[in-house]
Amino acid sequence: MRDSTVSSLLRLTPPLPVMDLHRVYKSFGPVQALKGVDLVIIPGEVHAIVGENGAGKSTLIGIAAGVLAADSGTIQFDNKPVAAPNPKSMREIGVSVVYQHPALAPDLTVLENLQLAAPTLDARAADTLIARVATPQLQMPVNRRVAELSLAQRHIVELARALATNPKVLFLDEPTEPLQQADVRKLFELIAELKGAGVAIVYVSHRLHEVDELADRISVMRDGEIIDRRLARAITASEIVTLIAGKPLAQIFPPKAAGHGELLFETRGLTGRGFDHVDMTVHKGEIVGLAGIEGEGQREFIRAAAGIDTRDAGDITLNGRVIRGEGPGALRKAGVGFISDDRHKEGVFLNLTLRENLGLGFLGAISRFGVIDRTGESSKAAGITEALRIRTLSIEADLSQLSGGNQQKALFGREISAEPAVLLVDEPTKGVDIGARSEIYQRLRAAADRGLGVLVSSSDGIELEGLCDRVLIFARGRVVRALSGRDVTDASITEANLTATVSRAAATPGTAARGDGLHRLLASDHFPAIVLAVLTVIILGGTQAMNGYFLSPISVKSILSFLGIVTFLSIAQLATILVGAIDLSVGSLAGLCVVGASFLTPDGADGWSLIGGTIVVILGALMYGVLQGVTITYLRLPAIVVTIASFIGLQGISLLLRPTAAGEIADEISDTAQIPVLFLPLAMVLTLLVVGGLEAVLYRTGSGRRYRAVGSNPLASLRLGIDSRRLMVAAFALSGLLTGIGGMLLAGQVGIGSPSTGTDYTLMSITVVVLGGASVAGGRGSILSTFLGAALVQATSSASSFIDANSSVHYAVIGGLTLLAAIFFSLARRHRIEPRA
Amino acid sequence: MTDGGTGRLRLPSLGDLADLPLAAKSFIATVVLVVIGAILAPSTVNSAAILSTLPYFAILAMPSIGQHLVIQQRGLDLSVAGIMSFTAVVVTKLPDGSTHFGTVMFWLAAALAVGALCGAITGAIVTYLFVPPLVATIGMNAILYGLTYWVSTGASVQAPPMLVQFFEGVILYVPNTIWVLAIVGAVVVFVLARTVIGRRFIAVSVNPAAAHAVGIPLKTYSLLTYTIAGFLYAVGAVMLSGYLVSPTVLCGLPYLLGTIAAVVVGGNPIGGITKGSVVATIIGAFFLTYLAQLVTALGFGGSAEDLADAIIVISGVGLPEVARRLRHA
Repeated sequence: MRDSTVSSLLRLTPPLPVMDLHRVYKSFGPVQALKGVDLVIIPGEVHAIVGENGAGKSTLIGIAAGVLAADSGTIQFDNKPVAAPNPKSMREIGVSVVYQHPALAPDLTVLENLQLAAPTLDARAADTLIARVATPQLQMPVNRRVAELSLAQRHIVELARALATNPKVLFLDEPTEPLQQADVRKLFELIAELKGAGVAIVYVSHRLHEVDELADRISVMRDGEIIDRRLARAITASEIVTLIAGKPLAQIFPPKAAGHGELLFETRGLTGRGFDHVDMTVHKGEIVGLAGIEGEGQREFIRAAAGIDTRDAGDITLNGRVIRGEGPGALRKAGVGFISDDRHKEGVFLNLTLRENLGLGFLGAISRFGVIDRTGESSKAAGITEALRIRTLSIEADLSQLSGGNQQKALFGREISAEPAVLLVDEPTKGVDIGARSEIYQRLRAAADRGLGVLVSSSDGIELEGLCDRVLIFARGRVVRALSGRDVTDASITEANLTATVSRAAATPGTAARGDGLHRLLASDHFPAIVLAVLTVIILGGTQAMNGYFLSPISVKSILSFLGIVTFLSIAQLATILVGAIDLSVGSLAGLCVVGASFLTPDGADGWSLIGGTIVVILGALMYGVLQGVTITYLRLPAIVVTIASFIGLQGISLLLRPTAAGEIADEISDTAQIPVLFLPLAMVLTLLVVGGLEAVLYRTGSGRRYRAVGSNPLASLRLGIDSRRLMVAAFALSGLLTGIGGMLLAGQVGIGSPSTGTDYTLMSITVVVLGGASVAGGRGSILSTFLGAALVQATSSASSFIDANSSVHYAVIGGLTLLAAIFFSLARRHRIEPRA
Repeated sequence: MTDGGTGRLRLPSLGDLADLPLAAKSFIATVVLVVIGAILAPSTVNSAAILSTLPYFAILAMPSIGQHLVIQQRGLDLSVAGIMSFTAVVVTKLPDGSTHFGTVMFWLAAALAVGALCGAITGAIVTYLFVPPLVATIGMNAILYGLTYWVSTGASVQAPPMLVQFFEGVILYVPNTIWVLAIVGAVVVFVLARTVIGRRFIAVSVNPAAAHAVGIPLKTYSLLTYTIAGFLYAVGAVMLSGYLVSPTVLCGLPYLLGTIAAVVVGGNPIGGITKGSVVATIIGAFFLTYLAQLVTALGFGGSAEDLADAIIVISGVGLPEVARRLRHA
């Protein structure tokens, strides 16, 4: 009833768009991704955008989300132009995007990831939100780290995060790819509910049956343009197919084989992650397709059959002989070629020339005793380039200068030149324009006609229909149906996919949600802290047991003083490591602070000039940190190189200022640090306050979350509109500030302007950070654990010098601890699931 | 001599001045520096001065080739100082002043083997235990410092006279250190440019995932890279010991930044991705050696040299980026 009132109202007054993109152009280098796209988005309507890979859908979403800046064109929201769109402003006015590849920070928990978009969301609201968007199978506790979730669960978090800000416009980019039927139904119910509440939904998918079910309005994209837009009821599925492809299918695809030759390639009982006991065959002259919903095992299977990913069991047979050995090397040698779905990452070598790329296919044929015949290589490469009509200026052009279609042809040429017996192709035309696409189909068919076997995995039903002689449908990691002859149609593939998944029993939650208790404990944030505390107590107690003088008051005082120094310098190090950088200059900068103190806070100076001098030293270190951060961030230089140069340069300055140790530092500096407060020296109290304060900021505030998110996943941060450059500079500034404080404490302990005191602290700070369980790649680390790491290092160091003053032991112990801790954490966290990007 | 494929041996022609290969760029930079040096301090370009610079150049270039290989494989080796210091102790302290050819050769071989072994251990930790190269090499470096102090007991020792004689020697007017560099450099350049192993090595550095897909054993290449690098550091340390006669205990220390600087000054990118050029790194090593001599000739001490090195490295990575920005601005 309500429906009819609404629609009659709509008929009376034309619906007002909530968002309106007008004449949007965008190019990447020579490639025109969008050529003047208009998109009108209306509240309470599902607007589907369909088109092939590379048609420009993702670029359009990027621009609507403020992640990409359009070259020209305007965006209006609620009839007001959006001046300078960026991810944050677009989210705030009410645009949310569910990305095809979830943009999450893996080192943060589910709740923290949600809070990156909606800072005020609490745990209970987050639970409710997750329950609203996910079936019980996919729900997860919100304190779970995202790295531990299955791919489907990550999509749920991505969806929940998009809804957490109560958007007016929701973009969904291929949202059902990793989902199973029940989860898809849940999503569709959610979409209906949002639609009822007046949310505008833009639904991007290549699954026409979904579009058919959901869409009120359909826009078809091709080659960067919207070539047609209609109300959904005014267009048929076959019209859409022809619009997407650009011409009738018969003109795109080569004729199929009349028959096929003898058995060529066979898998028996092939089992691995994601697929289970797969038996299948490919004959000579035959093109066999693999179909299935994303995550049903077909991709994992074809990769394992090529040896790219490992398999657990089963045989691969070629020409009746079982292939011995594993890995791509053995399989290629036997005659199995492979073309990956991710051309840039796993296919071509963009920064090598076309000749070198092709040459990798036939190095054996053009080399003698391991030496390459360059003339032979060039002529063979030129031959392939001509035969495949690869458009390039020369075979000496870098592959990055070729278009996507020509890169794909080069990849195809390389694999064919290796003269395989069977060619496995994962998504043969992903990111390839329509013209080159047809050529690739012709080449694949020509190869099959020459007697090759071809196995193709594709998510595009039309492609499978046009290209394949036989199609195998995957579900739950097994082949559940085979279509051949006239049954190979997009419609029957879709139907087979659906019936296969509908019949699925209540599935296991995700593919790999894992974690026995022990593993979870080993991988937790608190684990290092516990271990470090226990080890520290053991070392202190053990040494005390060996020598009763070890824990004398004076010795404890000295241990605590140095603990403060190590802690400050290690947290300085952690500050940069958390955002994915590193600061090798920490030690030298602390050393320069000591030298600076010998000039600015000399023995005999009065109280005020000592305070002034201390402030100048600390501010100087802070300024140096800022300078370093700005250099690294805004010139995009590798932090490691800049800071290692800094390390040497600062030491040079120290040596220039104090060629030998000279210049006594005022005793008041160390005396002040030793003032007892609550039974502890002032310096230690300050250390504990800083540790507690920074830990709270890092784990309890929005800034702390953003800080960790930048280190954990820079891309996700970009999409969320986090200003990673400012945070990077802040990280180096913080590092400089903490090094300055640590440096002054060190100055108090050393008491004289010695030019070389600080240098060992760079290594020590890294050791401490690694011991504290921080990830050197960024995103993960705890200040508290770092403090306990510092305690362990200081205890070890004091104990070893108490037992044997030889510096050789000291170095070896620190080095050994670094390696052992790094190896331990690397292995303990090895099991986290990395979804394929 | 057109070697278009790798751009490694190509000399600049007028046609492609805009897109010069790395080796040519670093060569031009070096010529410019030497010209400036000749004006500021003419004494740095007389034949005696050049001849005395050459051994230091060779000694820096040798480990720089190792560092180059590691950096090209997307790593960074901070164990240069430890490996060089420790192998220098092996070749000076352990022969115990022997003049017996066999003994000296034994410890020479031992030093080279130890270098390769240390590299192999770091390589194994990086490759099979998935520890980031930075942490693995920094830890190995510290352990080797410890070993160096322990074996040397903190005192420097004279190298065996035989080594001193050889590395201070000259054949056909060219210092022997340069001969050693020429042979090792030529082998590395040839292997990278002309052999299947070299091509695969480059493929791994440019795109490891794609290299895996074409069946190249990544782990073997990674392990071999660190092993060869360790070997080259040891060769450098042996040359250094022979030339300096009695190297200090931590004689490898300057080579930590020095080798990275040579790679950077050669214009090679940090972290693989593009091909890089070993010849450019070797030229980079000459640039830095001459710069150090110039700084000294101008009356600044060793610490100013540190400062100059630091500035050179930061400009080396920074200037191309600044230039790129200016071009696009």
